[in-house]
Amino acid sequence: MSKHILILGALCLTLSGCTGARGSLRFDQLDYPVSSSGYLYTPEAITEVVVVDQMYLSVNLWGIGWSLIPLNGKVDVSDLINYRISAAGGEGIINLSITTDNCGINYVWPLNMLPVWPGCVAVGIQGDIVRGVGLSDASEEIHTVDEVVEVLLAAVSEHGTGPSR
Amino acid sequence: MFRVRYACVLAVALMTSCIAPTVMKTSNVTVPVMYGHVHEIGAEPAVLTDLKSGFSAKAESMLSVSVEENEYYSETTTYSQFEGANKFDAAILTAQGTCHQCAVQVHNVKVGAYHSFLIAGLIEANWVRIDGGIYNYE
Repeated sequence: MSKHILILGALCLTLSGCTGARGSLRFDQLDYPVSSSGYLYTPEAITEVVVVDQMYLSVNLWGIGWSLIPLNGKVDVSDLINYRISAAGGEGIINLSITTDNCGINYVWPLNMLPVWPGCVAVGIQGDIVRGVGLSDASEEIHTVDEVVEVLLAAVSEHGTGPSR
Repeated sequence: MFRVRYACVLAVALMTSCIAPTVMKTSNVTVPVMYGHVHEIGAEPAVLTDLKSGFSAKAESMLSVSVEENEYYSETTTYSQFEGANKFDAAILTAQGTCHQCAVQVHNVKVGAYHSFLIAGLIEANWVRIDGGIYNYE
């Protein structure tokens, strides 16, 4: 009985194909804020952002051994995103979305029966490149609490203890 | 008999093996869902430390076709599953709770896809998974 199961298992492995890939996307080196919602935290003086361009990136992650062995398991897309933002004159990204799909190479039967045949996952990354409204004008007007207190103290010491009634 | 079954599965595979891609979106979340360490426009990279809660969500598109055959009948069963981006919204909103000044930080994005063609059927899938945390934002 066990001999039959072994033969059946071997037959299944021989006559079946399985390809694919898996991995991780990293964003550790981003120089700009990137959000997958429609919002970004901005400095106080900025009231809104405007979309200046669209971004679309395509990244493939590869694996062999019936998708069990990742070839490029961790891909850092930070540099690609940084470049797209700076090239568009943007300051961040909103509405980031990530799409995964099988690559065409996964369907090549009967070659996908071979463990050395590479599998692939196609990843699409897209989003809206945005720029804060009024950043250059507003940045000069931003004061910290310490600066405001310092100005007030200077005014008080110059004019006495306070306004006379 | 065996060759007929294999040919049928192959034909079905060639006809139906293009499943929809899986899409990760969080467009219904009303706070920024941040990637990387820069948390606002014009700011320097910083690491959030005040963790409130964590979240994890996965969406998968899958198609499986199996053929069962005996001397009386042949039956082909198709199962398809297409999970939408709302799973990510739901996971984040649940973890966020009532905190409206929080930062949502995604730590890891895992992706994968496979196509498996077996003797009596096929399975094809692609998926996206995100892991992250909800932090108090100052």
